[in-house]
Amino acid sequence: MNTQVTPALLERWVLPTAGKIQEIATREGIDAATTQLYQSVLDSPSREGGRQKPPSSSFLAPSTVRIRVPERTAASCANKLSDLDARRGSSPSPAEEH
Amino acid sequence: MKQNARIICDWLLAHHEQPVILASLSKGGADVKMALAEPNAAEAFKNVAAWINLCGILNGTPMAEWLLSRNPAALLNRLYYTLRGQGLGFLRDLGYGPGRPLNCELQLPQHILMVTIAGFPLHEHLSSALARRCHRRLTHLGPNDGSLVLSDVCALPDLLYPIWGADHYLRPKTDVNQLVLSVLQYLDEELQWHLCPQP
Repeated sequence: MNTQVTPALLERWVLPTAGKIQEIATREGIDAATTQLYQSVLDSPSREGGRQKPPSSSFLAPSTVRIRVPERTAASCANKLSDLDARRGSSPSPAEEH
Repeated sequence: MKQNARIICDWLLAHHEQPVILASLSKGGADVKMALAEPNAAEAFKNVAAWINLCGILNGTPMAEWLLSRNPAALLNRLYYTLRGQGLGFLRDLGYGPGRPLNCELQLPQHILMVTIAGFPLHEHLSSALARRCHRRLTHLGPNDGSLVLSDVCALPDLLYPIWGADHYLRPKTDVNQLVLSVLQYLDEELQWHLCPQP
């Protein structure tokens, strides 16, 4: 099972900064800035992109929405998943307990 | 807000037998953020597996600053709150920027998976005059949902579920029940997938 978030991909990804987005809002208008920020979120790497996702997850709704992991917190997310895996490895499963 | 933070911690300490998924809406997000800063937060949040943050005001809102301003319309709003018997303390709690209570780092423990849901509306999507006014008042801060600055939302840890065309109250057409059900199903599968061995 691959539980690694693809670090190389995530490291390359940078969402526009608040300053950059404000600059776009000033230059092109608030709606253009909102559209660009939204598109950046959609284009950002989702956790599903880097590893196998639960087989029947319906979280990716048929609308224009998607999960993403911000670049700056990718490491935090990877740590959480490792932590969960470590817990799974260290504590017995219900089947093992019985 | 401080009292709410204590109530959350106390409740969690009293319900530590099973994993918990927290869900908060709007100002409730600020309450959870403050609860995470309580001295016994590590113990209280030990069994919290995930936090669904629906449009949470985690850094305060510039609308609170506007409502506390000397603008005549803000004054009328404050009068309205006072006549309804509502104090104005909540506005000070939700202030935005340096020196405000929520201008602090979110202390999210490593083991809690945070899922943030926020609206990304264009001006034309806003269905009420009030929503349009709030959106316009925050325009100088960039993209916003009428209450939250969206670049702040994008800086939150873990997962973000952006809803195109929805305002801070997820209007005009978001099916919140279906949305929350989908998120819960996702979390159920995600957490089980990691905590239970797969064949």
